[in-house]
Amino acid sequence: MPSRTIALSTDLHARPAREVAEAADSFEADVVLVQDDTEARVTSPLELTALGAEHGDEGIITADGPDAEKALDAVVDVLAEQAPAVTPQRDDGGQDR
Amino acid sequence: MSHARPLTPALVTLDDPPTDPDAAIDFLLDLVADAGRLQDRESARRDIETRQQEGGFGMGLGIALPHARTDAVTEPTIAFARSDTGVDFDTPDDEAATLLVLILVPSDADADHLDLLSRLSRGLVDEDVRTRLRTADEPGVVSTLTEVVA
Repeated sequence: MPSRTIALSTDLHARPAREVAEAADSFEADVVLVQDDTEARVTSPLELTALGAEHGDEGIITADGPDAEKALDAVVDVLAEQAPAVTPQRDDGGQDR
Repeated sequence: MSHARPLTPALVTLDDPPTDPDAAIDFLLDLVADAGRLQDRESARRDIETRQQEGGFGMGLGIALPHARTDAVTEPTIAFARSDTGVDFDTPDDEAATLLVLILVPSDADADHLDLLSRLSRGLVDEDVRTRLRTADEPGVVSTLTEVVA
């Protein structure tokens, strides 16, 4: 089952939750976001906002079904601003925010 | 700084709201105004409208959470109505909203907004909570919602 670890690009309030649900809706796949041991179906805005997840929080997205890879890509596109947060690269001269 | 509870009995009604989403939002705003919590109704309505244009308020499972951060309130405030027929808030699962909760949070209270939204959502994903909100009398609804946002 394809899965990816991401850092959230935004606080997970109602608007992004709906965007994710709409992005995932057209695919034949069950996609879940797990954050702090709590699982949310990404097609349910309510389950997503229940996570109370904030910008920068880490989550794991897992997809299952015929369209799993495509669905995973679509959801990652909305939830994670950049590629999966595997190896953070410093190109800002090492300045902390 | 005073800390009023986000929900008081005056902010809950069992009267059926209009089935049009905009009219239903006005219906909820009336509750907030009548409870004396609204400084400026026009600006509250505008701020809700802006939020609505950014993305709808239907959350699935028969829930709509119209909301805004607005200077029209000085304390986080929620108002509740339930609809027998349902209000079409353009929800991803196409289920009409029968439980409506308006969330208004002061403009400078971003953390409060996310906190209140996630508490409400956590409560409302629980089928038992949804059933109680659909069937309870007014005091029952008030106590259920108070537990959820506590």
